[in-house]
Amino acid sequence: MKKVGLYSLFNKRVLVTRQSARDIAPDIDDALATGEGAIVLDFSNVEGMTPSFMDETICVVEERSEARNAAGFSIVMEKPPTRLSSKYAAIGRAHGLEMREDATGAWTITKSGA
Amino acid sequence: MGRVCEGGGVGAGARAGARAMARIRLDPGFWRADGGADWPGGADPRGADFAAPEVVADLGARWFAEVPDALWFSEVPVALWCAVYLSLAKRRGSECRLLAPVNADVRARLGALGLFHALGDVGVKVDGDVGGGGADFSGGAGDAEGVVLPLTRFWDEGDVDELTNRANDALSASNLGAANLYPIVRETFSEIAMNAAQHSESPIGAYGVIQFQRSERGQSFVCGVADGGIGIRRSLGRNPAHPPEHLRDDWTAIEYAMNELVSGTGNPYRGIGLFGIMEDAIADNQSVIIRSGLGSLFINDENAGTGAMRTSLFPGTLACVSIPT
Repeated sequence: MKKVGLYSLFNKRVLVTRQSARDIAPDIDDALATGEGAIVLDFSNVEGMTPSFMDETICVVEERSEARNAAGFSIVMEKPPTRLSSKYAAIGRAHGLEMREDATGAWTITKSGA
Repeated sequence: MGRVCEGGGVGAGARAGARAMARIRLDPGFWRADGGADWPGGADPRGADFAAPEVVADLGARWFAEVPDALWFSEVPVALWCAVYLSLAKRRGSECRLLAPVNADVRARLGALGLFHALGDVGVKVDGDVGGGGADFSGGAGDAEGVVLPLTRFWDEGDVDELTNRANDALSASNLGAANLYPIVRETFSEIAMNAAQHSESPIGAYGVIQFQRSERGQSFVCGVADGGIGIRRSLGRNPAHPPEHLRDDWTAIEYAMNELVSGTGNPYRGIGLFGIMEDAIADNQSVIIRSGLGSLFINDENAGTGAMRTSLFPGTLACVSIPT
């Protein structure tokens, strides 16, 4: 799986806007192609994100996966800046995704069907 | 100068006619349903019929002079109220003035929050008539310990991005409170600010502030955002899919907006913002004030509160969250 380092792309500690997620669509597309539907988003040095940023990131992954005719995808979020709280879980529910947080704090977001 | 409406508030003043001066007396408990005896009842500076040639917001009430500790969780909404109301009135052509609190401590705290600077930027005069003595109200925003982000006007998502990252830098350098709460402070501020930037349609933009407060109740971060826009009910009303009974009143709309995936956009993935704020509030014993139009909702750090109810007008939407540390 290809790892996308978010801090190096944005040079920001807090990822806030939906447009920010749109701005990295080419990087996500490239990583999905390399990883055959699996992608790692590395939040190292990122200290915060908004639900809006996360929701739009998922939208981008969904769109790019559909464009590639992929049946499903997997996103691993390494070192996320916050816990997988109910509001982030709600985003996953809205998209019909499975979300879980492992012992290291990493989140795995999966759309089954592959 | 027109007639001063003592005790009647701006509502009474404005209803009395276009020549009246509207004098608003703010009670620091104005955000409670039972607070603010002199709260303006009806004059909406967003409305087409608003025509007060002079508006004076009076913070000289006895509460501000005598009981600073009663200001728990009130400085931020008071500052936001003044910034939004007076900015809207100024935009409508009113001469606007703020009578600063006579209590030097309260005055200094509001000055440090950035209220006087923010008002000066939109042409609102600040003076100390209520206290006399020719006090200096030019005090610098953010000078006082505890102000993470002074009262700052913003317009769009790009501004929210910049403000959130600026606040993050300030938090990291501040050593205030518990560092493990900083992510929650950042998320909370950015979410309520994004709501204002995306949905308010406010002609004056919005104001945001983050303050670390110490009081007899303990320590907390308070994040506040307010706009002079269309309000929650009209924002949700842009989506015809919502059942009309939920949008009948401002207070029913506030309560409805707290539900998961309720949004005015029609996008099936939107509508997490206020839902998430309330989820975090309940999980982490936070206190929340939401004011929008004639509706309000307040929950406190014991997960009790008023529920959504009718109250006095806020000309736009105000959200304040107190995060205990």
